[in-house]
Amino acid sequence: MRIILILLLSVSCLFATEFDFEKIKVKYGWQTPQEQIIERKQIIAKEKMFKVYEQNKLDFSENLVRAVLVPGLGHFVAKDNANGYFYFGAEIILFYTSYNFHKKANYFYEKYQDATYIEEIKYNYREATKNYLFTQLYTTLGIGVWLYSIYDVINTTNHYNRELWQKILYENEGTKLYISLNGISLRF
Amino acid sequence: MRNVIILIIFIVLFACSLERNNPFENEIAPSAIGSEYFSITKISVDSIRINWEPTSATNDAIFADGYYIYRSGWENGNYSIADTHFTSMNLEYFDIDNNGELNFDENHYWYKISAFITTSSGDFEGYRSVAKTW
Repeated sequence: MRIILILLLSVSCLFATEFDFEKIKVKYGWQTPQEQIIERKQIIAKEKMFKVYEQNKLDFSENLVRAVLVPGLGHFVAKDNANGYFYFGAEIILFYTSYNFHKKANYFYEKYQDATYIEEIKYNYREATKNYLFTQLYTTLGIGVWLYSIYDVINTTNHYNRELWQKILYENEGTKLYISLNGISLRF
Repeated sequence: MRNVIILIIFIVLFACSLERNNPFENEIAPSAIGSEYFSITKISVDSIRINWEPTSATNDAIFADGYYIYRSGWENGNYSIADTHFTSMNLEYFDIDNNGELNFDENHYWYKISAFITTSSGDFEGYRSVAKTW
């Protein structure tokens, strides 16, 4: 079996043709063999850049899970700290306020249930309802901000990946000036 | 996305409300005794007489099973129960200074009266009258 394989390989060498530059230069638009070498180098360089990009880019689904679990975490990971602090802070404030209104609503509702005086019954029910409405309002706002932060993290991740690719290009292609949202870099 | 958020807001806001489960929720509350239906008279330094009428005009007298008499040192202050009449027949109360705590010459007191009805869940107090003094 091994002998047959060696034979086949040897025979195939007999039919091999020489690399004909003239034939393929039209196809790729090369004028000289040097141009072909340069383009080959460029492709290898882009391959390397793409590998670096693939290693460092943020995964959408992973970042989405982060944003679902902890509001703002996806933004922190994508280096968007300002929005990360905003979403995290907003969630804490909104849910804490909601919790406080809920506590107050419960307090008045318990008083309403135990009240034997008509004015107290009315007053406590009114206060409980009012505080309960605020609880719902702040909870809804909290959920709204949380959902929006999840939606926003998609854009942020996209932006991060775009910036990352630009940065890799800048570092590898010899561009001297690099402008991003995080600042301006000038290479000497 | 925006429509989904609006939908969630509506669901959360209008999905739940507080249940009205106070035992007196379905009872008719006795209304307040009008100021023209009760009077306060200072009898002496240490006694005050308060009397009122079962206000047929408000037809609460039909329902009243008793009355609460409240006292306060200020017109808009906190009122505490001075006495409770567990009968609708007794329409008079003498506030007497037995221990020297109340001095009707030096101090002025304000009174309110309210009727209550007795139900299986307890006494249900109606609206209190306006504050009155001698």
